[in-house]
Amino acid sequence: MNRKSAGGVAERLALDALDYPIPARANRWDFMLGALTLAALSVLTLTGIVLTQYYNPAPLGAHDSIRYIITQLPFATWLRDIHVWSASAALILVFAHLAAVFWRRGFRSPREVLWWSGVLLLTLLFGLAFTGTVLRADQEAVEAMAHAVAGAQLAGPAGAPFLPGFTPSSPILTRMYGLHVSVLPLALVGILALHLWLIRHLGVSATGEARAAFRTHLRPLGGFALVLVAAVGALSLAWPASLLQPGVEGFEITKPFWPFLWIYATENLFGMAGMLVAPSVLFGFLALVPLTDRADGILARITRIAGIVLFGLMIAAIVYAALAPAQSHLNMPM
Amino acid sequence: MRFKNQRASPVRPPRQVAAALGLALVVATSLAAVHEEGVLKLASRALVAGDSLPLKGEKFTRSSPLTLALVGMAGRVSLGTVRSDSVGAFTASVLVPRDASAGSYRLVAIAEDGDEVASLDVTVSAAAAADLAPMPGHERMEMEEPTGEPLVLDRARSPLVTWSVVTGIGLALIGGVVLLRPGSGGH
Repeated sequence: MNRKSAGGVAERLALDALDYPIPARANRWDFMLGALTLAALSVLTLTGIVLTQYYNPAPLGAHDSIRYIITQLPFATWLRDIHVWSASAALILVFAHLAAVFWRRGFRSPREVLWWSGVLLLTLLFGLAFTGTVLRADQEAVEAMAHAVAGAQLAGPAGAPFLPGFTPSSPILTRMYGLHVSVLPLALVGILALHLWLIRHLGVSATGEARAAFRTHLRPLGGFALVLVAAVGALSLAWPASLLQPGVEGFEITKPFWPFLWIYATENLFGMAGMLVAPSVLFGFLALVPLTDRADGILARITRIAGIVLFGLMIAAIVYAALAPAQSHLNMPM
Repeated sequence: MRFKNQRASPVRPPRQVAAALGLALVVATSLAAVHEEGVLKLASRALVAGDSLPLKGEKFTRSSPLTLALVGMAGRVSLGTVRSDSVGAFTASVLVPRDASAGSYRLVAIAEDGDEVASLDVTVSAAAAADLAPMPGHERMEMEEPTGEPLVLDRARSPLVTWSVVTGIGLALIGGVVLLRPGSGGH
């Protein structure tokens, strides 16, 4: 394609709109973690669309359909491995993004809503990771579902849709599948649109006077995204995602998907109450951050220290839960 | 209600949110008096109308009656009542009524107070369909103890897919490194 025709395409696609100024500092890798999370989400979407063609969301067919994918479909089984590894990548990247924004206080005025939309996106990602785990219908999935049901019982009428007996026409696994492939992704797209809109119009929280065109940001971002895809693909080949035995209800002998290990650790310490306490503390803190760290002062310093302590505790809890022996919590007192 | 000399205090969102979170936790904890969840174990989850199957129950409230039923879109089919023993277990034979409609059901155990304390997803097929071969995997026996061990499966392999994947990974890596090379971009 010669320069003239390239210019014509650029004009017709309004690519000049990508030349708006951004801080030159935003071309550093630590300002690309959010966009790389989006790249991982794109991989998840594409691989997920293929997997839906083979997955059977009926309670008695789900496990068999995954076994079919693994044993009969060479390409789809690799896509499933990529799907699982991309979920891990997305969660690591989003936490790194959150930590970076927290560290540079990117939540301060006028970016409070930008921060809260990010916290909501994190919540939705956890929801997607959870419902994805449940869909395997293996022992780990059945135990995760039992936790969801226990949580739904505690939530009273609000938790009714997450109880097995909500309706006889659709099993809870099928409803979880609906959440995983439609409700949560739609909510994610909506909140993501708000997040991107706010970034576009409020700008990133980078310091410095130097400016660069946003178009220059896309090249290193594309580079990192391709390296991410290559890494996820290689990990999928080296360590394929496992599938446990078909689940048997009423037992808790496995540990959850690693992003939930910090909750598992608090359940080890406090029983089933940990399932409520740990997420409440984390997401409650994240929601309060823009309110308590508005300007420099003692409250801001406390918020910063609390954030660092919470983040450290979370990592320590994940390591502890990974190393500790499996423990049953379902019949533990609250 | 506000008293005469009481001054309106400024809104303190952090305290309010923290109080709301605390209250939510207290309420949730107070609601936590849930039933001990039992475990139902069926020899097979693919039931046939008219057949009887052994059913085991564990971890129920000790020495208490339990009503068993199939709950599906067609309604509730009662399977009778059992009584847990001194350790909260029972063994029973479940007779699926011959006139039960084919379809997906939940086999539920209901405690004396009407609360559902255990359930299993099952399918019921008409008696005439009993001669059909079950779907692969559905014939498995479920009376075994659960295990957290990964299944050892013979993974599907294809040289074409493997080489395509390796090529794709290589191209993505090369493309990424090229884009990240210093001086290759416009910045």
